[in-house]
Amino acid sequence: MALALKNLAWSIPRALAGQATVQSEPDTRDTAGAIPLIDEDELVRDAQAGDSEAFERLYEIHVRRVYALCLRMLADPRRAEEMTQDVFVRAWQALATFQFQSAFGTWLHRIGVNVVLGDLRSEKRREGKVNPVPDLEVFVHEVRESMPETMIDLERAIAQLPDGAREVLVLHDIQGYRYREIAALIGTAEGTVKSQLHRARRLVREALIK
Amino acid sequence: MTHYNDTLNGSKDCKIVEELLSAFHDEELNATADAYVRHHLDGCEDCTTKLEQIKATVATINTLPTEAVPERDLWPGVVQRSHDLGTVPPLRQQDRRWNWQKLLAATLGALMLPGALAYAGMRLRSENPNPPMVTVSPAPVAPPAPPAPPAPSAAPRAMDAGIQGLIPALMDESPEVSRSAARALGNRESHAAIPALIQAMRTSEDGETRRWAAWALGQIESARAVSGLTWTLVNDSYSEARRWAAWSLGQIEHASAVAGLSEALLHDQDGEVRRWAAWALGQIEHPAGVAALGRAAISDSEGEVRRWAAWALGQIEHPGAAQALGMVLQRDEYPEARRWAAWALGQIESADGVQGLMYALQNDPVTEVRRWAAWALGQIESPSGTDAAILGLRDSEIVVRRWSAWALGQIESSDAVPALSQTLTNDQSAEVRQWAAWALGEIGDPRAAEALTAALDDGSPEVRQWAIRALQELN
Repeated sequence: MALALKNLAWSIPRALAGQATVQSEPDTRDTAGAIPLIDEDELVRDAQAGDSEAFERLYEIHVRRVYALCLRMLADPRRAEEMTQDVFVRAWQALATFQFQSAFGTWLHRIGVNVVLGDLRSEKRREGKVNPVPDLEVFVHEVRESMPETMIDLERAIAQLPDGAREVLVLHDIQGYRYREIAALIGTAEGTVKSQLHRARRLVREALIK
Repeated sequence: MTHYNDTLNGSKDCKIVEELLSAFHDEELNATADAYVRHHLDGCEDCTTKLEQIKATVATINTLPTEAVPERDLWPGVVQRSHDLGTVPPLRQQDRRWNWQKLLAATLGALMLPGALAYAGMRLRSENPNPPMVTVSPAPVAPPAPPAPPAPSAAPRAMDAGIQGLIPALMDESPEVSRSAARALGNRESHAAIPALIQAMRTSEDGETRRWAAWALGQIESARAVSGLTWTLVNDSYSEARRWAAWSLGQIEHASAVAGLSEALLHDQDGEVRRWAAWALGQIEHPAGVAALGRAAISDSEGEVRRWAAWALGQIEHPGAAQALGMVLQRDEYPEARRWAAWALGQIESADGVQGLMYALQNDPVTEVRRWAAWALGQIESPSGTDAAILGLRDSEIVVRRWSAWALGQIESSDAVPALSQTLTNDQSAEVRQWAAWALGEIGDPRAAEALTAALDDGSPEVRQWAIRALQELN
């Protein structure tokens, strides 16, 4: 649940949080703080033992993050929904292999990236190396509704980036992967990641100042 | 990186550096290249400016949200796909609206309680007695939900227009028009209106318009409104807008609202907003709400907030709340908070709640609190609750003794046999004696034979019937 709190931290203005009065008595605060929070590892262990309800909890915690990744990478709401579902199906299938060497969210996210990149690659094969141009207005409408607080112009600029550049920019600047990791995920050289990212940032900046 | 050397300079040098600036910014260059760029930047204003532009662009991108709420619930699709694959254990297809059904069932159960108990009494008096209706728990009637806002008394003129006509009216300079538009859109429950309602809720200068927009989003019940409602809940200066944002989040029942509601529950200055936040967390039933609810239950300055926090903890049924609820039972001055804390502990069914319930049974001055404490011990069914329930057998009130006997029958600990036997023999209430007989039958310990045999001469036919039945159950 620390997770859930962190996930919505953006919505709590610092000024308000700072001014808020904590209405607890000093002698109860310690005890209250000791109330156990949700232990995500415990949920994962339960899910590994076949507890589908625990897995559903994990889904509820992570679905919005996975969907945001898919939506930005694909710029196509319908495909993003399908890929989000695929991510959780794959995670359920592979759950037994999760060894707690990273946070579950990190592991799940990597599955998400692999699923999306796999989808993009297969799409390229089907379409003769050229991805169909997603309907930008459909994407913008979806972004506006699913992330009301986002910057639409910036989202539009990212969505219009060429294939490759968009993937690298989303993975690095939004998802926080390093060059080396992105190169491994995409199956390309680090130098390519470097140049793609540089190009992506330049194009985004140019789009914003137009 | 031997080709980066001091012989490169001027525009050619700048061209090379420019290609490296992004990686330099990201600290992804090796030491040689990093030093080269650094050295170049010292004397190149153009490249320094370009680096600042990259920094600004990246900083802007970094502020983008990392979460997006899908338009529809994707979980059923996850379940379906896993079924289709057939190679994985099937995920459970949950009815994700079960909360309402459960609440409805609980409410109906509570409303039907008097009839059910009468029926139990009738069965007890029948020629061929069946077990009493012990499965009927005395579930308290849920606290009344915060009242829904009054429906618009007269359909505003804007109702005649289509949704697309109503949306611009949300930003009308006349507050009367914008309020009517928000109400009309809420009544139409149109998903297409969500972005406009969120915008009105965030930007309208009229507090009542913001409040009606929040209400309308609760009518629509879409998870896509959660972020916007959360923003209003924690930011709006108008307490009525915050209150209705909390109500709407409780209507939507989406787990992503838990963090914002917890923040409001702990920090909002307005008690009504906090109460609604507690209610909403109880609606959502997500364990992530337990920490804030536990804290509110023991430390909120207003009794009604503490009561609703206790209620919500009972809804969530997370064992982590038992400690806080036990503290409510021991410390809270507001009887309703204690009563609901006892109810919640019975819902949670954790042995960690026994200590607080024992304290309540022994010390609480309010009969209803003690009655619920006895009921909760029976729900928990932990042998550690035996001593507490035995204490309840000595209570001055019949209803507490009766439910304590029931609890001991639920716990089925042989340690209760002497106390139940004594109750069966000496209690002045026939109702208590018959439940003691029932409980002894549930426990089945042969040490009860003497008291049960003596009860065959009891003045009450119900007690005699149950003594016969219990004697048949002895091991």
